[in-house]
Order: sequence, then C-alpha cells, then structure tokens
Amino acid sequence: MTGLSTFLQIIWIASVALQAIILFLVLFRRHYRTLPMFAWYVSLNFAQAFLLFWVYSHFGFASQSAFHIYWWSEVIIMIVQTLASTEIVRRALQDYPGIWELAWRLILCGVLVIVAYSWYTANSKDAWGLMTADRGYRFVFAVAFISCLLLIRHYSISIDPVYKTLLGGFCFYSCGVIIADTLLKAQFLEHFPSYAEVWNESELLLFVGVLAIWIVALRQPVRVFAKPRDSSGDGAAYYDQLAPQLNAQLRELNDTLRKFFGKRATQP
Amino acid sequence: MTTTLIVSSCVAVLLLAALIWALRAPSRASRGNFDLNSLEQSGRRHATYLSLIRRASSSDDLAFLSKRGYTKLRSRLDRERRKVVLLYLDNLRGDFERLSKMARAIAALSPSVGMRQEIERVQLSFEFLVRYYAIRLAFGWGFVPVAQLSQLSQMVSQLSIQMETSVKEFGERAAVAVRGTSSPLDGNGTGVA
Repeated sequence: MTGLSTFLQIIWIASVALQAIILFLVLFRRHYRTLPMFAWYVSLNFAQAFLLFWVYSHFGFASQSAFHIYWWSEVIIMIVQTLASTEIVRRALQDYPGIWELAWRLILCGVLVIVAYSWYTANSKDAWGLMTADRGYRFVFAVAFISCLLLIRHYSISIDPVYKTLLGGFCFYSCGVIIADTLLKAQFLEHFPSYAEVWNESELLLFVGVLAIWIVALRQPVRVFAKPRDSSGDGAAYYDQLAPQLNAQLRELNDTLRKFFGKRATQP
Repeated sequence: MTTTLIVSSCVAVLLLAALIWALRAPSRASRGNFDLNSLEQSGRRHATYLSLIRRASSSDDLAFLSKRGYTKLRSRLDRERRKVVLLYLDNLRGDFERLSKMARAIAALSPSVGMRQEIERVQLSFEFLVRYYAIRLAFGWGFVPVAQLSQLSQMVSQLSIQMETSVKEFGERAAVAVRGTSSPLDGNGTGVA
C-alpha cells in the first residue's frame, strides 16, 4: 500500500487479526446475545479495516478521499462505541436500577457535551477542528464512562469481570488517544518529521493492546440474565431485619452525641 | 501549545489513575455491601465508652489537681484525656463511615435513586472529613473546639435522618411489593379490584 510504513502495516494487520479473533469469540461464546451493540462495534471495526484497505490501495494513504472516508467511517464507529459502552454499563447494572438511573444521566450529560463541543469545533475556523473534536469526544467519553465505573465502585457493586474489562478497555483507549492527539499537534508545530506516522502508530498500538486484553476477557462467558429478585420473601425479611437495627443504632448514636457534646458545650 | 500539551496530558493521566482505581478490586474490608453484625457491634462499642468520654470532658478533676499543686500530674492527665477524646472522635468517624456505607448499600438496592440526595450525601461526607481533620488539628495544637464538635455531631444526626427516610422509603416499597405479590385475588400479584 502506498504511503504506509512497514511497521504501520504490520500493526494494522495484527489489529485486524485480533479483531477477527474477537469476532470469533463474540460469535462462538454467544456474547452477541448479551452485548449486541458490542458485537456490532467489533463487526463494524472489522469492516472498516477492509474498507480502508481498499481505499488506501485505490486512492493512496495520503489522499483526500482516504481522509474523508476514514473520518466518516470513524464517526459511525464512535457512535457505535458509545452505544456499546452504554449497553455494557446497562448490563453491568441490570440488578441495580437505581444506580443505572444515575449512570444513564451521566452518560446523557456526556453525549450532550460531545454534541455541543463537536458543533462548536465544526463551526470554528481552526484547521485542527477535526482533531480537536476527536480529542473532545475521547475526553468526554472517558469522563462519562470512568465516572460510571467510579459510581460502581462507590456503591461497592460487584460487576462481571468481562464488563469491567470491556469498559476499561474503551476508557483506556480514549485516554491514550487524548495524549496521542495532543502530541500530534505538538509534533506538527515543532516540525517533527513523520508526525502523522507516529500518531497512527501510537493509536494503533494502543488499540492492539486493548484488543489483546479483550480477547483474554471474552474467553469467559458473561452472565445472561438478571438475578431474580424475590421481593416477597427475601426483600421483606431483609427490611424487617435491617430497619429496627438501623433505627436503634442511629437513635443510640444521636443520644450519645447529644449528651456528650451538650455537656461539653455548657462547660465554661 | 506547551500549556495545552501539559494540561491535556495531565488530564489524561488523572483519568487513567481514576480508571485504575475504579477497576481495582475493592479491599477485603470494603468488599460486599454491608454486614449486619458489624452494624450491631458499632452501636455497642460507642455506648460502652460513653461514660469514659464524659469523664474525659469534665474539668473538675483537672481543677482539683491544680488546686492541690499537682501540675505535672494535671498536664499528664489532660494529655491522656485528650487522647481519649481523639479516640472517641475516631469512633465517631467510624460510625459515620458505617452509616455512609449503609446509605450507599440502601441506594444500590433501591429501584430509584435521587441524584440530589446522592450528591448531598457525597457533599456531607466531604464536609465531615474536612471538619474531622480540622478538629483533629485543633486538638493537636491544644485547642478544644467544642462548637466544631457540635457541628460534627449535627452532621451525623443529619445523616441519620437521611438514613431513616431512606429506610422508610425502602420499607414502603418492600411493603408494596409484598402486597403486590401476595394479592388475595390471585397468587401472581395481578389482582383486579
């Protein structure tokens, strides 16, 4: 392919091979049943690789057509990536509807910020608008989904390691791309030779790393259905046990504090 | 450009650190939702030491020792009592953390969680920690910040009220669920009035 270095071609082929393995695992382990959007994401990424191979072969790597086709396909991938990540969070929190309520609001806030930011950068005269928008997307994506992971941790919710790894991979890749995008502009302004190649290589290497971790995770099956909640039996029994203990403890704590601090406060 | 580079890289590194922390397996102490036995123990422990704390906060003994001229003994006693009050403060923090943990567990089990309530709780926890460390610092410098201690107690009370409301709501929902599933008209909770 014209315009692509040997190293870049090697890691590109490696990424395609890893995506093929993931696609196989998604189909073989039936992950597409639990995570259909993730299956779509992997399939589209795989298809994008073949589309770009054809485009680079016909128009050349540095051509305008290749540039436009890459970024248009990338926008679709980004949308599917957001949907796939949201689906993973929803699956992970399927037993916790209250926390899911908080999480989807966080994600929605993130999506609104992405749209507003993209709109703003698209309208600006900056030649780096596209790159800034890409970095903005990665930034808001990382913030929204890392916040969801922090929320899960804050409420001590135990989630399936497969979901954790997939979501962690998306967030790790986004953080890496933020740095790569920033470095690209810095290298360009410093007249660093083959800055575009460094950017492509760093992004692809990050992606290959994430794919390798996903392969390890996707070998395990994921929980398909939510745990049935027996609100008639366990829920009521749990409440009957918890409520009196909790109230007694709080009352005791309050009385203790009131007496102790009340006495100290009245002292000269 | 250098500023943008530094800021973006710092933000990315911070996000990565948050990601690693979020993905890390929780420690053995904080694993699981909560233990009802520990909840029971904490209340008892608090009550057991109440009389000692009262004693430690009294200035009668110190005044008596000063009057008798036992200045060395007085200062030692004062020091020891401060330690006891600090231990009590630690216990108070433990209780607060246990309550917060329970609040989180209740929120996690609830079918609906209020954003405002949760933000309020996080804010309350942050405030508590700030006040706690401020009081500890004041104690270290020899002050006895009674007013601040009272504020701290108010915060614990506030949390307890919030907890009581949450538990009440949780109980009401559980009761509704029980009524729904054990309808007298049919066994499936789909009774028609």
